[in-house]
Amino acid sequence: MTPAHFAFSSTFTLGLMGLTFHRTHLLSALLCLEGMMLSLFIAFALWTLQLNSSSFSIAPMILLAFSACEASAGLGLLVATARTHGSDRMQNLNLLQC
Amino acid sequence: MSYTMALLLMGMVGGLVGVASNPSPYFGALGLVLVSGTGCGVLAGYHGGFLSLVLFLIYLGGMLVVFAYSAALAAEPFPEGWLSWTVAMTASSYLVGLSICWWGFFGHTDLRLGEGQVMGGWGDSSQLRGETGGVGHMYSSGGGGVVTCAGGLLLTLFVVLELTRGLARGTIRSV
Amino acid sequence: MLVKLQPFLMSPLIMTTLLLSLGLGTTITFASSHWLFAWMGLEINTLAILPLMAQHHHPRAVEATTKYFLTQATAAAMILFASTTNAWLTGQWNIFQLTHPLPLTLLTMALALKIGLAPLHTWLPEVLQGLNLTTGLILSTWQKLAPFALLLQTQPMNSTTLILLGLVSTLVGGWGGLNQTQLRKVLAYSSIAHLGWMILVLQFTPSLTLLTLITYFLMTFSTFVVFKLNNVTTMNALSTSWTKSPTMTALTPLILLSLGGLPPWQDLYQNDSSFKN
Repeated sequence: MTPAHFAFSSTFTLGLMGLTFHRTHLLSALLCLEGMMLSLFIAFALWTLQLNSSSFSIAPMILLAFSACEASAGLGLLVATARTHGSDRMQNLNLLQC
Repeated sequence: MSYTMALLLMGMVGGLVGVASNPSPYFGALGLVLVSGTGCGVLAGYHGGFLSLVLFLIYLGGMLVVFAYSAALAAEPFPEGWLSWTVAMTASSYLVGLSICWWGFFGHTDLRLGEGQVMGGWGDSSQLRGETGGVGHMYSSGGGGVVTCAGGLLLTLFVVLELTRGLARGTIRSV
Repeated sequence: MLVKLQPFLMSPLIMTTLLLSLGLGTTITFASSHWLFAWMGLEINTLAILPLMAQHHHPRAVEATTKYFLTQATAAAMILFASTTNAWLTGQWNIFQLTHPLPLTLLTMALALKIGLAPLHTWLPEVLQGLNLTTGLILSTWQKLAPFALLLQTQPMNSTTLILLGLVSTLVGGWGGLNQTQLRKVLAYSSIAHLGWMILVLQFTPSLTLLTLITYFLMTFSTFVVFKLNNVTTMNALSTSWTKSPTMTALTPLILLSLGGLPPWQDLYQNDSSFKN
């Protein structure tokens, strides 16, 4: 394990823990998802640079495009939730509990 | 591994601690700015100039402007910063956990910090990387991936349009 | 009411695009041997079903969509993280080459979150409850296919994780469904229990798992269609639906008992052979 490997693993884990344990706003959850995708982008890019495999450097770009898709879908849902539930607080998402 | 690189990696992790410790969305977005800025520096430090540029321009330019707009949607009267009690407690417990992990992994390793020192396996700093040309493969052999990406982006356009349609329903109405 | 809602319904062209993308996502995941492309297929799959779920813009539907999106995006990111870690440790991006135990466990947990295996199942009853029956049908059949294909391709190494997931899922699925009056929640717990059985036999006989999956799809399909035709979503409505369509109500127990695994129907055979294995 190199320090770079440690850095992106811990950033991903932090994002995942933040998303899992304490969120009050839907937007904060989306920010955590973005942080996870960002650490994955850095991991992909560093892997490419480490192994000097030039053909793999397409992968970070594809990842970035799809994380943009994910982020915009999440923001669309944020708007839809704000319309139906009044705010983006996660506590308001309680209509479906058992 | 130079001191600059160590500082950048620490900035990356610290930025995500800032996002994960559940502050208000404004501050979360600020933490994400820190992560992407330092991540861009890390990539540049490993001689990946093009990918670093992509991260800086596309990610910082596009994504965070959008998030800044939506932070306005989630506005609160009293935003919680990192100095707020709960946020500070969470962030410090994350930092303690990270330090323990770091000590477990690297406690007995000589990381050879210093100017010009490169951590094992990263090669000579004057070496040219092929990633600028590699991204160019997208136009030839990686064409399928580009087409799929374009398809995904187009699909997302439809998805967002469908999700946000229908202003007349829900709690916010024009009446 | 229907007339008033009519202008807001989705255009058929967009509906076609979304349904085709739903198929495309699963197909990309089936066809890929590289983790990145498998992930792209999963993402396309998730993106395409979101508007179908939030079709009627009811608060419950939007909430279910949001919950579904958050879980699926997290699971997809975890899958990619597992494969990246594997690439850093072993240098392999191939789906069949995910051999290091740490990413393998992480991947199994991510896929369990994606298909809703206990103890990562809690989103499934809530999401299914918020949907209409047609989208619920898609969610509990077609959406399971792509993660299941990935699970089948990486199964043989991590037996303890799989057995634990399977056991907990069968127990939680059986007990969780007991106290429910909402049919969609019962179906969600039934899905958890069935997937638990499949995961349990996965490492011994993968072909039996596939057979169970196919029969589960068949029976769930018929159950959802029956509920859709009777337009029932609660036990109460189901028990009084004999006044509306007596023949179908008389035939419904056949499907339900078959889903429950009673003789002489299909599912018993599989549970029996699972035990024999």
